[in-house]
Amino acid sequence: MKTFRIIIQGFFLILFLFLFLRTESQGDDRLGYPVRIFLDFDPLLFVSTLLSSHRVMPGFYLSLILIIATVLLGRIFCGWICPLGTLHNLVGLAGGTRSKAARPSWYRVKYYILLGILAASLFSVQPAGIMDPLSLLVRSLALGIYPAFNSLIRSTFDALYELNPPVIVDISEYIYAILKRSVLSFRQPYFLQGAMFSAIFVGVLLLNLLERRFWCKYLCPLGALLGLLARFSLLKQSVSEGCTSCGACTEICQGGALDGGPGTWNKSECLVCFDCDDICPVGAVSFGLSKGTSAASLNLGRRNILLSLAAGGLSVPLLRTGVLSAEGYFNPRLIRPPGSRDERDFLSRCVRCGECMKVCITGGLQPTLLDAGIEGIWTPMLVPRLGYCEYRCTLCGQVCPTGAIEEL
Amino acid sequence: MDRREFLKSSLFAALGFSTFGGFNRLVKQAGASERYDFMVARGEAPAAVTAAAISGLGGMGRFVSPGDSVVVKPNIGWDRTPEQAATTNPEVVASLVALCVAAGARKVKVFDHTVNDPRRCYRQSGIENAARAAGAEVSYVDKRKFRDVKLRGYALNEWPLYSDVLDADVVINVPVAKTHGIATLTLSMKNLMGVMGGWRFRIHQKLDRSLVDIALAVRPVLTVLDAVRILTAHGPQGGDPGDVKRLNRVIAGIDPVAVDAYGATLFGVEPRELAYLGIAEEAGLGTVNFRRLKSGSIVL
Repeated sequence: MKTFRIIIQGFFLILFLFLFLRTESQGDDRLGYPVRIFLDFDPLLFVSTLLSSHRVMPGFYLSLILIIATVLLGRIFCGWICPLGTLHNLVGLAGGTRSKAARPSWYRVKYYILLGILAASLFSVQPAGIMDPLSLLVRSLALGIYPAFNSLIRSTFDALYELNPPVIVDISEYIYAILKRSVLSFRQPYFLQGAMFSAIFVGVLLLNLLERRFWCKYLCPLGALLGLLARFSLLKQSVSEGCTSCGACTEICQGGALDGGPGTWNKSECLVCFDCDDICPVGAVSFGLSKGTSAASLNLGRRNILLSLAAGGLSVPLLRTGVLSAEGYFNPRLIRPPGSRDERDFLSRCVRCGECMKVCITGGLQPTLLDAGIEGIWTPMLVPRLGYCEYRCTLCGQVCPTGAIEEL
Repeated sequence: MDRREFLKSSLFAALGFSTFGGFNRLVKQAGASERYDFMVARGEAPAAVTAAAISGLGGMGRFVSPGDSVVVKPNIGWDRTPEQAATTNPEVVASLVALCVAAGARKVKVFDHTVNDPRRCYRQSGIENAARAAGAEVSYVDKRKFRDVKLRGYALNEWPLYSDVLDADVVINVPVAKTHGIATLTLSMKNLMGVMGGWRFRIHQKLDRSLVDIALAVRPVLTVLDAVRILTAHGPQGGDPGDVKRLNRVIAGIDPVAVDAYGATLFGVEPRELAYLGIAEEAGLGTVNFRRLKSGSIVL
């Protein structure tokens, strides 16, 4: 089962990266690929955008499929589909410890984060995209990692071109041409805060060296949302009497769902990876829809729940004391992409996924820092000095998942 | 039938005529006994009109020998459709490419150093697909392939020019006729800006003399002015279909100054009003008096 799961994970990661690479103009008016489809399936973005803007973009109805799948089968998204999860697994191969009892209560943090996000969304602030794994992944790749990748490859091949060693340069140009057609971007991207986005992303991945799937277990708000939905799942784990209490399943559990030992399976934390099933030396562990335990203990603590909700809710008036909320004040440098809604509406929708910035054909769309206030951090603005807005191009509106940028 | 089929069939018809001497015969009947140096062709189908114009000059074989590497340099500078007349008509370009291939060219390259995003320019103008279908190697400009050329001219001392043009055996310049906010009209000499690298928009300050300097460095053997549709106002970018006039004409000649001078008359502009033409004539690039050339015309 594990091999099959790894193949599926690989498939979705490759699909994600393929769509990421296709988020680029070929010269036609339309992109021709559903490049934002992973974001459309994201229930966290769906719920938070619904709460903060009271609107639903049609694309988000796809997330209902994922909601239903999670209610039926638990966090299969986390274990089989999430491309960030797959990247965590890949980095974790470099050696992270398994789930240990050392951090038993940390799994609660992601629920507090989720509650904070939802509370803030209720009052029209949209922080979900900052920590949503798919939004984080697109943004980090688009603004940090992919530009760095391009810079590395281009500088290497361009240096060879300049040096012009006979024969070698013909080979390198041939390879360069293939790379240009496949994985390189059309032009070298440059983004404000690029190094920071790369650093944050690498930091998130390096957490796997502390503990495998650290992000998924302790921080991911989407994982928390799916964990809440998974409470109702029909999937059950059963441990037969042959169990020798060797603890191998507890050791290998990716989600930390067996921290209490075999038989204490917590379905809100289970990533449905089936590693425990595969590793059990006596084959005592199995999954099914009929027999087995299905505990879902979630000890959040009423006080902490209230604190999270309050933090999220009260962040709103704190944010809204910035001068950009003052009547009649605006930042004249804050030029939003063409087709953007009214600023208040825009801020309640934009999830800072970076899709528009990735697709912008002149590279003019850049992430803000404080230009739109803290509330507007990492939303897109046009920096004409870097790139003008091509009059007949409508790509940013085509890729925006929340409709913050309307399609022109 | 779709666009590609139409292109192919009109090209085939055009080639058929020129190889079997059909147009030559028609042209002879117009009163000349040998090939011309300047041709004005008119008709409904741009591909056939182009072929007729080339035929009147003696056929593409006059310019392209078997094994030659050819550069066909159209105007692909702007993100516009053919109906907006800001870029060269794709059927005209494809027709020329096909004629070069038929004349035995080893390689026909089509490119332009665009102003707007190259992907959009190449695709929206229709030139990328049309030229490729006709057998050209269509590629974006590679910024590394510019080479500094000592011009030592009237205004420019040295400028990076695209090596594909400098290294080609044959260069064919295929501009589209448009008005221009600074140059009054942009015709064949202005079109050569598409082979320039560097901070080229700077030359708009000493435009007339700079254009002559570039023209002296890049000497196209054949100039084909696309006047199938001309842009009569708000050029070079255009955008308003109301500014486009359909003339259905293609002008071909070995003298770029003469071609541009004729092109000026299409807009009601006196050729001598274009200062760069006078300077070009002084520099020996050609003559403004196109009527003095051995010229022919044909209406299809």
